[in-house]
Parts: sequence; structure tokens; C-alpha cells
Amino acid sequence: MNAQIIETIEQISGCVFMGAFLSTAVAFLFMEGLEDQMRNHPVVNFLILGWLFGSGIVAVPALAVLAFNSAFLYPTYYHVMDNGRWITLVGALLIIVMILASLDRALVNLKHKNLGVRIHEPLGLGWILVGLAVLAQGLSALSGVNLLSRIYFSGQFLAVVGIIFTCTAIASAFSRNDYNNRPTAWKSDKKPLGLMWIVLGLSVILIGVSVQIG
Amino acid sequence: MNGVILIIAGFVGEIVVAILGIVNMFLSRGFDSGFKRHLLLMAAGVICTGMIIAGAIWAGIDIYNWVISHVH
Repeated sequence: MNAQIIETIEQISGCVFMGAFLSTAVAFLFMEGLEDQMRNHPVVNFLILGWLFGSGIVAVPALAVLAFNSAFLYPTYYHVMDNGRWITLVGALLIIVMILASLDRALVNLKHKNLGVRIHEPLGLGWILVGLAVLAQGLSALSGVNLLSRIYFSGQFLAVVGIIFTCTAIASAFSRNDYNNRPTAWKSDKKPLGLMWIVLGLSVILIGVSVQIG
Repeated sequence: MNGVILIIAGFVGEIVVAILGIVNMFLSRGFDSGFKRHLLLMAAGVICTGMIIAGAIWAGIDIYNWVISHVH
């Protein structure tokens, strides 16, 4: 394959991954914005599951293509990403979305006089960290500093993102239920969601490690 | 190229859905008020994700055809 076609594949994969990433963040925003009594609504569960599953289905292959290209083929994708504008935009958007979602959640907690910190709070924190990492990558690329770019290329960035995904998925799966104080992972309707995120996180870690080794 | 346009349309749609979702969350409180709008916006978000998936498949098919036509 020539450089032109590889570049096209990389650009499209980057576009798809960013889209899926944003889609996931928006899905989390909607999930965080729901009040507790709405979360067990069957339509809500169906939509959230479809949303996250759909974005996960495209995010993983797109990320795999990017990682494969960076490891084995001509890494032109990074020239496209190096201008930093796209990734800065996505990072800034993620942070704004997650801070607003956390604020919204905090307002709901205050309204119901529920001031205790719950285990599933790291979910929002994880996304703010991902947003910060993406923003840092974008800003460093914009300013011409290549240190973070090198980390990103080497697969460590992907591994870190994967670890955050996995940790937040596990934290979410074992967070306490508001009704019977049992971990939500024990409820049959929550299992596929948590499991999918754990698998997604582990696959991102694997991609990161394989890029690092490759 | 049509696939890429579809992906970008999905991307823009997600941003619009996110903004409308935030506005809806701040405007409405309680089970009844805003819940239907929330569900509608969630459905719109799922459709936008579907557009991204469809765009990715479309672009993949285009690239495959392009490669096949240039190999032979």
C-alpha cells in the first residue's frame, strides 16, 4: 500500500475514534444527569446500553488501526494530529462536559441532602483525567513540545487511558446501589455495561502495551 | 468521502445533543418534567452514534474498493 492510502485510513480511523470518544462522553453525561429513580427505567437502560455499545464497537477497531499503523506502517496520522487543534477541542469539550455533569450531580446530591461521597464518583473523575490528558497532548502539539507526543506514540498514553477505563469501569460496577445498598454489578441489567467497559479498558491497555513493545 | 461526511455529521450531532442535554438538565428537575425530552435527546445521541458507525463502514468500503481497483 502506498503512503496516500495509509494516510487516508489513518485520518478516517482518527476521525472515527474521536467521534466514538465524544459519543461515549456524551452518553456518560446523560447517564450522570439522570436522577436515581430514572436510572432503572427500561428505555433508559436500552438507550444507554445501545449508545455505549455502539461507540465501543467503532472505537476499539479504530484505535487498533491507529496503533497498528503507528507500530508497523507509515505514521502519517500523527502529522495530521500534530497540529493539536482537534485533540485540544475534544479534550476541552470532555472536561467541560464532565465538570458540568459532576456539578449537576452535586446539585442533585445537595438537593436530596446526600453529602456522602459515593464509590461511583471516580467515574466522572476518570473522564476529567482522560480529558486533561487529551488536552495536554493537544496543547503540547500546538506549542511544538514533542515530549507528550512521544509518550502518546509509544503507547504509554493508550495504556494509561486503558487503565483509567478499567479502573472506572470496575469502580462503577462495584458502586453501591441506592435502593438496597448492594453492588450494582450484582444486578443482571447492569452486568453487560460494566463488563463491556472492563473489556474495552483491557483491550486499550493491550493495544498500548503492544505498541510499546512493537 | 461520503462516509467521512457522515462521520463528521454524527460528530457535530453529538455536540449539539450534549449542549441540549446540559440545557435540559439545568432547566428541568423531577421525574416528570424533562424526562421525555431527556429520552428524546438520548435517542438522538444513539442515532448520531449510528451515523458515526455507518460512516466508518461506508468509508471502509470506499477504501477497500479503492485498494482493489488499484491493485488489479
